[in-house]
Amino acid sequence: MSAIIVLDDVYRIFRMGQERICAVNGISLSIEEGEICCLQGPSGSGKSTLLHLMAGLDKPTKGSITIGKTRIDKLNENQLALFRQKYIGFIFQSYYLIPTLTALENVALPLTFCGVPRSKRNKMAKELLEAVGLKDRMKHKPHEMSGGQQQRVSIARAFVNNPKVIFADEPTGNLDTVTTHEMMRLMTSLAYERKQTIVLVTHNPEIADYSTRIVRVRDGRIEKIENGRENGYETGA
Amino acid sequence: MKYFDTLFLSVRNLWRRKLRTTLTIVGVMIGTCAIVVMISLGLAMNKNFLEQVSQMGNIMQIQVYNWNEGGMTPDGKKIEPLTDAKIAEFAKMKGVEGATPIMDLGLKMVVGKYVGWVSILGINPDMFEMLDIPVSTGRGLTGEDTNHAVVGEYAKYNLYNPKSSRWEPAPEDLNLMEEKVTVSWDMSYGEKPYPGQPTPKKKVKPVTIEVVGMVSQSGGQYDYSIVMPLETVKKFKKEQDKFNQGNGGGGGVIIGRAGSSSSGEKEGYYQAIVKVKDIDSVTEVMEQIKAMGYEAYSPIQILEQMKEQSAGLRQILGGIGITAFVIAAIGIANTMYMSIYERTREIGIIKVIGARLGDIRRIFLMEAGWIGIFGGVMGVGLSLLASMALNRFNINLGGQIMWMPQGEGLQSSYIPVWLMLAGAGFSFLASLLAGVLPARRAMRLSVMKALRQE
Ligand SMILES: Nc1ncnc2c1ncn2[C@@H]1O[C@H](COP(=O)(O)OP(=O)(O)OP(=O)(O)O)[C@@H](O)[C@H]1O
Ligand SMILES: [Mg+2]
Repeated sequence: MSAIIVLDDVYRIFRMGQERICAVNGISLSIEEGEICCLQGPSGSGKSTLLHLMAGLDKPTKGSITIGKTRIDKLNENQLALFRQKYIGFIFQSYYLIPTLTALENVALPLTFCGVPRSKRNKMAKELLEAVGLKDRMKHKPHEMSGGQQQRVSIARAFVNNPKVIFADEPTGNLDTVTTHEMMRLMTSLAYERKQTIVLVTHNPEIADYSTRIVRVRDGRIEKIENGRENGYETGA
Repeated sequence: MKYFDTLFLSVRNLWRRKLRTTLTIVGVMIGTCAIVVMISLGLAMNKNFLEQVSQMGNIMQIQVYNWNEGGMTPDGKKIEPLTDAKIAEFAKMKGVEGATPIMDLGLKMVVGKYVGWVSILGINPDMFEMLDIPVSTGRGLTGEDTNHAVVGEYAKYNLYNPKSSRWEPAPEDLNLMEEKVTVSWDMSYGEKPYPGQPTPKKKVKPVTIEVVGMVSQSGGQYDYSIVMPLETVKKFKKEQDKFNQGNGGGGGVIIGRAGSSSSGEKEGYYQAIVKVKDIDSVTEVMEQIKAMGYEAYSPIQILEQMKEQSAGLRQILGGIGITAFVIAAIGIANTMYMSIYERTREIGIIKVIGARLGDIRRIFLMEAGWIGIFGGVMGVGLSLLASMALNRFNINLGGQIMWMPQGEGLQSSYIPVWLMLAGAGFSFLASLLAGVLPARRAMRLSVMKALRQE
């Protein structure tokens, strides 16, 4: 196995007037292909900031971030957009679906930006919605669905363009225990089938059971790295 | 992102804010309508001028005379005679359709027992059609015609019976096309000689002419004259000169402008008509002819004057329209800005899932464009209604030339097709422009900032 994400001495410093907040304070980390890597740590430790940096949603103040062979800290906004289209899926705690679009349209939207023709992207979106168990909710708008259902839609959306890495920021933060396990099984099984890498942030210690590695973050630094199970999918099942 | 998808998405975005979209479209509609109606008032004014001036004579024709006030060309040379060669030169000028000399010869017309003075206009018969002489019955002249004539409907009013002791004009229903019409260069033909007047040495037999058509309501000289081929009129002129010399010059009473006509290639003609191809060339051609020292006249001069006098009013009208439209454009920009604030989060989301900067700009510009197109098309529709209403109730802002009779076709508002297209096009472009700044803002929003916005 080879490293798919490599962080080398990454800093992210926010300036608030006179004050400087080092949300990410010198992190070096290498994540292997096919891993399910879990970031844990107290609130305000910089997990989300780190995740955003890795997904190219934010730029590091210092240091380099490589995904595959690409230095994403060097890309401009349009290059990043293209890069995200091809290689990255993102799942948010509060789903972030487009309220006016149906489940199907929401899932198909990333493909729309890739320029995939309508019939093809609808077919792909349908397949994924079926895979996440929302076969009968395709035409529903987000506000007509439960939180768990909405999160399934957002998972389907993250997976639809078959990205190399999926980032998830507290994907189960708003869900109950049963649904949380469902979601985790769903994500890990999808990723396993497609040999995808997952990086997720969570406060829930149970979720750690699904991961191959647990990275503990504190004050913008890596405190400890624990090895989890050999294979997130098998453990989860 | 595919073009159609962008279109679809932008329409969808507008559709979900129906009320605001509608209000913005109404704003653009009113703005477009204001501009179009204001311009239409100005256009109607010019059109009315044109129509009324056209009644004064054909606006595409320039009357050229072989003299001018100074008696010299502008650069101080002697004016050359208006010869066939010169007239051919006019015909070759840019924008000129053709030119013909006009020879004006006063003769005696004889129809049965009635006689009367008549003015015969000799023109190049090939140019007959070009002169737009309105032939009401029969036909016009063609190149093959010789002793054929097209007669004005009022020409017969000169006819009277010289043998009668009281004034006896020709009957009203005399149809010259069915009568045998002759002309004579003996101006006293058929008259009772005045006491003491010497009788002509030799009598002349009147020449028969064949009336092939009648002219009515030409609005000018053709109503009272007979139009005949130039060569025939030249022949008549020669005969008349011979006759007059033979009678010691005093045999005939020379009436009208017969004396000022000339027949020749050398001394040239008194008058010519130059027909131009389009209205825009009239002034230019006229300037060129004037530069050669001739007097040139066309009703377009009045038209230009009228237009100049009303230019101020038209500018004010245009100003009102543009002001209204600027307000509408600000409305569009405002709507677009509002929708960007509203959708900041959404812009962040679509950026995360791979929307490129160009996609985002296109979505927003298209939304503005749709507003512009709908508003523009509806504005043009509204303008057409407003224009109909204005014309219906005859609300006139100008364009009635004071001393002209109230014309039938006078309009208050006139919207030609180009104005409709321009109105809708302008609305579309202005809306796009109003959308540019908001679209740029949406584009530049950083992903994390946009996502954090509530
Ligand atoms: N845009 C910003 N401007 C200023 N400071 C910021 C910004 N984003 C994050 N921070 C700061 O950076 C630090 C890390 O924030 P971050 O959101 O990464 O924490 P987190 O580990 O995800 O916490 P939580 O578990 O509560 O989500 C915090 O102290 C936060 O105040
Ligand atoms: Mg966080």
